[in-house]
Amino acid sequence: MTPDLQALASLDRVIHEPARLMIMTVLYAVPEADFLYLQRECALTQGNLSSHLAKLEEAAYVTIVKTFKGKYPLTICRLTKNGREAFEEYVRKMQVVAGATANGNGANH
Amino acid sequence: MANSPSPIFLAEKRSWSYWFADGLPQLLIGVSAILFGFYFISMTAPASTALVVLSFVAFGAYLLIQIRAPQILEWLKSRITYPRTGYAASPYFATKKSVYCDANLNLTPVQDPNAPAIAEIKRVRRARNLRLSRTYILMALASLGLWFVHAPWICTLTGIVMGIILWIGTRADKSVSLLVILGFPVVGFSVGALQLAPHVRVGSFILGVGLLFLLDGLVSLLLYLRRNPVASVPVK
Repeated sequence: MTPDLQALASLDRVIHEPARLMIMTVLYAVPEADFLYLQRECALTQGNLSSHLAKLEEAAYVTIVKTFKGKYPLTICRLTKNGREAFEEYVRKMQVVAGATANGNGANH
Repeated sequence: MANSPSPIFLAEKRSWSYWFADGLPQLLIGVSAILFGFYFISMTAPASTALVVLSFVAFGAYLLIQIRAPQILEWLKSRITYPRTGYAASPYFATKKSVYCDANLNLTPVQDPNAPAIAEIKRVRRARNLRLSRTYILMALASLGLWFVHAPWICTLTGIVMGIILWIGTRADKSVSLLVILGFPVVGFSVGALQLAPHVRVGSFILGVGLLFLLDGLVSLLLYLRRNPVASVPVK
């Protein structure tokens, strides 16, 4: 395998799933967000978002805090330090691959 | 594809716009400017005891809003915005501690400031802060004309110049609506047409701008409430 391909193989599979990648991207850009905001931004159903958040929480990439504001429950999600680092690493690897493709490194037969 | 904005950039930009979507920040700016404008005018008008008391009350309320703006906004948004379209911490207050989460969650210290995603977020926030600071400074400079040039047309000119500065400064993220931008020259013209004394017209201009933001905030809030009825309770 070429180094570029190896970079692809070592991508974090937890983040690489499209729905989870969307969630991670939003949470990376926003200091913290609640369940409803994530649901609207990522256009996911409640069940879908719940299961993906559970996977991210299991990987210790996201912390979920349940709180109340008046009668309204807020489920607040944030990236952990691990989550930030993992996301940055993922972006870095993807940029290496994208850069190599753009430079035509992978086009030589 | 090479020039299309990255999803991180778009997510950041959307969260910034989301902060203004409900019209509450504009309402707060409007109320704050009205209070300050009123204080300014009443301080220069012939004094009666009631007016002096009222002007100090207005100034106190203005100071309170200035000091407690984030908390007031959070309080309003937690009752109006979050139940409808969800909660997202403002990127504007990104460096401050969250209202809802405690500090023990092992959060966010940046490990590698050269990481591409961090660099991008930093670049976007730095550019926005720079743009906004430049806009505030230029608007303050433009307002000097109201103090030093004693001709009615200066109000209209100041309004036009301020509207253009505001448009240039905020067009990238559209945080100020066209209603406000186009309203500046109208406020300037109106204050000029009233033929007010120089010291009163500055206060009147501020008051007019406050009314403009208040109107914009009310329109935005009504549209937001119409588009977003209260959501069902989220289930996790």
